[in-house]
Amino acid sequence: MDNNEFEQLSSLWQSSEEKTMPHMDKLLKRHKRQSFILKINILIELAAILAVSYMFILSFFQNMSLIKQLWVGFATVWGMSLFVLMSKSRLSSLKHLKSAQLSTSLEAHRRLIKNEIFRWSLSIKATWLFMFAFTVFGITKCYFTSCTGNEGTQFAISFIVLSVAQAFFIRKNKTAKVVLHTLEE
Amino acid sequence: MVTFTKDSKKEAIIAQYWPQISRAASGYECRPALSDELAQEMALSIWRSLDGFNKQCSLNTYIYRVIHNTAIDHIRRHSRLSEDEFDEATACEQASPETSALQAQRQKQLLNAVNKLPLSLRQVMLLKLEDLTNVEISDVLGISDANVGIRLHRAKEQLSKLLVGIN
Repeated sequence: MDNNEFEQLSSLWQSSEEKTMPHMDKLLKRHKRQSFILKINILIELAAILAVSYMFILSFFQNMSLIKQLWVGFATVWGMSLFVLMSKSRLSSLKHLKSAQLSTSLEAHRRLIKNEIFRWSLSIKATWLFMFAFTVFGITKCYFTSCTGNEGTQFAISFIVLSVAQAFFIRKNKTAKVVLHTLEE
Repeated sequence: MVTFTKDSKKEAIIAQYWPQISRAASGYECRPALSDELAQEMALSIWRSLDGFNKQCSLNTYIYRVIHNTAIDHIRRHSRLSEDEFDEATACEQASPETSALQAQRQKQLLNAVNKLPLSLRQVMLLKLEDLTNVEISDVLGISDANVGIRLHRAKEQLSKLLVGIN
């Protein structure tokens, strides 16, 4: 391709039709709304952790069976560890997002996507662990105490929900890795 | 640091660069709805970044840097298509029988070809198509002049092949 041909391409490119320019005030409002939703999500997660912790503490006073106590204990430790690790990674991402670097440096994007991959991998491992513990809990409960049909259905539904969530996490993780590869190509 | 305290001043800058923003969005994102969204993201990023402009480079270079990094951010968050799916998506964008104007058809062909370039080559190509010099491109992308030259050479080669393929 010689210079003349490229100049023709360049003028062809620059003559393409423009998109409609957005109203900046509406755009800024939408951005603020997104930040608000992000904060609400963090609050919901925190509330869920607190609720499980409360149940765990309550289980000591309510003479819950050992199996149930172990289960609630596991859920509390699992939730807290996940929340702390996730929040740490999120904070690191938020730092990059707040700095001007994101608009000016490709390296900042790489770090962000690596953080995202870490969070998805963590979610995958945590969900495997949760599914394993959930299965152990279900089997133990049915083995030592009686299991009704209703409980069996609840167990199956919970397992399906967890499997769907796991499939979602695996897909997200795979996509994030593809994006990192694209950024590094 | 230069402060763009007045919103009207920022809006004027965005209006001035809107054609470039619009074209860059199309160059990075072939799906029309997402392309519009990307253009809006770019405008918003420029708005938010203008206060951080410290005259270390020209405003032109700074704005292009913000535009192209926003595109990378968009790819990070929205790249959900594999290469095969991508080809299918772009195939939908091929000139339709209703497209009467030859100019519009050629623009679409060029856009499709640019969309198919690997990211590293697409970045330099999009900036070169906007008539930036190699030095300016190296400033925008933070790579050496020599690297720009190499990428540009490869990008031109691949673009030629893609355009021949389309034609």
